[in-house]
Amino acid sequence: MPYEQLLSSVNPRLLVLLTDESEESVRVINRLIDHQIQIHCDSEIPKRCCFISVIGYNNTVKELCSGWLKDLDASPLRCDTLKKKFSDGVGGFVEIEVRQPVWIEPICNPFSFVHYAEALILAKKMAEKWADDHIMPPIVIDCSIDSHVMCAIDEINEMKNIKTEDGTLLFFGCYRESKNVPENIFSCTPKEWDNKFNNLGIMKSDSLTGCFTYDNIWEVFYVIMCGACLDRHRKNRI
Amino acid sequence: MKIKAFITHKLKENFTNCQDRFGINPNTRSIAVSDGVSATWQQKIWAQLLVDTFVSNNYWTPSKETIEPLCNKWREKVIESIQFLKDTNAPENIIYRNERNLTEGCSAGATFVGIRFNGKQWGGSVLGDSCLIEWNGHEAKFHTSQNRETFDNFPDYFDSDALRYGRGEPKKIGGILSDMDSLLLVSDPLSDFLLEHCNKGFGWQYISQLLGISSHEEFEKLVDRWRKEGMQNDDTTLVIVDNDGFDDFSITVSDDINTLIEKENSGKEQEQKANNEPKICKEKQVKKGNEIEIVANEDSVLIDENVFIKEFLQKIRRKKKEKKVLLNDVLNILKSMLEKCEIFKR
Repeated sequence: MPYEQLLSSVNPRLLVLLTDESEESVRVINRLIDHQIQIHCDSEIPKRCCFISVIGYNNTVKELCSGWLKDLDASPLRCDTLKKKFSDGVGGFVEIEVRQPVWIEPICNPFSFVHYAEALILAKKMAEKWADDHIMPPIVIDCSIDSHVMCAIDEINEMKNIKTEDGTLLFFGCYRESKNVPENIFSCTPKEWDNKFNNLGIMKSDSLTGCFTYDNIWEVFYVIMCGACLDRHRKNRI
Repeated sequence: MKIKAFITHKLKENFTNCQDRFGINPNTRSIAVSDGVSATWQQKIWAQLLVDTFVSNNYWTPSKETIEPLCNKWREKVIESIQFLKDTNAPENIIYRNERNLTEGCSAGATFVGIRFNGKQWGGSVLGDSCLIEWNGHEAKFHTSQNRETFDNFPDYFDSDALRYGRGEPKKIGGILSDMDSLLLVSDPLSDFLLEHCNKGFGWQYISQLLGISSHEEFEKLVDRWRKEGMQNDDTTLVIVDNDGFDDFSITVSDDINTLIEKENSGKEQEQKANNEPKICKEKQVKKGNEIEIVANEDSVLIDENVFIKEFLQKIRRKKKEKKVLLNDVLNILKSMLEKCEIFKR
């Protein structure tokens, strides 16, 4: 059965995040990294169970940041302060200031995606190297305003063939809107994904590609990365 | 009743990270095992609380109603643990992450299996994939709260937040320990692995190996071998109850997680100390502009301030374990440390 292994220091996960370096995408990625660190911070330093690499493809293709959760947590570029609403436990909300570490910054230049295929090739190289000596299949998340998958269908399909003992590479798209996303790239639409997620069936699925929007990435992401679906926790941590 | 109990951590991790807990109390004739759910927060404290409360009591069993007071205790203990991080100068980001989890209302989850004896009769409850296996010499009966006899990554659990209730309903279990019977209380890797082999008809082969273990080292070796055979690499706990004809508990061998953690930490401390041992270097005075800079001499000991502070804190912590630390104690520790440093003598 694929996707059976538990995430641990012995079975760490590679997470490659592709970004068009737009403001929205960068905001999502900074939150994703922070979220990963937060959920893997038991009472001490975050476990060595996830290696993150962020590849930017606006103007040029380059690795914007990378590292184990512990190292990323210790070295953000800076920390912003945000106000977040939390349930007060009696039906209302309280606004609390939280620190949002920033690892990558957006680019103000005109938006460009001509390097998208090149970014996928770099992600593929990383994933292949990872798959050579790890059990957990890598996860690649393409996070941008609009989907450019049509420009690089061959590269995506090649990448989706990368396998480890525990299953094939997981490729996800995360876009502001998903209306222009071709169905043959992702095995489920955001709506189908939601259904699968709610039925708790995704971790046992053979085909774990999917496309989701900025709105529903959090729930899905928590399940993918933790390999556990605990209703209260996913609701709580979003 | 002859009892043996063992615990070990995941491969490449250590006892400090171990999220399993177990407890045995001959006075209440109770035994419990709890496994903190990895994807939750501060689950070790929660698992310990569940186990301690069960074995220290003659009647208490965990349920949605009875765990409510424990939820407050869990929170208190978590706050204490964050204060400890602050007192011991833990990195700021670690303190922040813990405080944020507390503010955001994160909680812990833990599975549970616990039994109490009355003569040879036993009864208790189970929730999640921690499991009780009844073994009569040729057949194994698995007691778990989950409907199907398979274990996945989504176990039922008790939640440390009283408002969240956790997942699943605890199941009452009970029976009589006959002459040739054994009871095994195990956490999920063992229950999963043994179930698989019992279904294939090899249960006897595997359970007899467990029953034959007589030391922590033997347990670790067996776990290591079974992991290579496909057992899940997770924290692993085993408590064996054999019927020796007597009603009283006779604990022949039992691991103690706190001793194992201390042992591990003292090993690490010694290793760190050896690595950080200040080196004797040459010192000379070098004139730089109008200032004279001191460079290490043969007689002097170079001090790394980080090492100095760490050593100082360690000594305070050790003292704190013995008694309440007074200002005089702090000064004495500082004095003894400074006396060793040639550079301060001058």
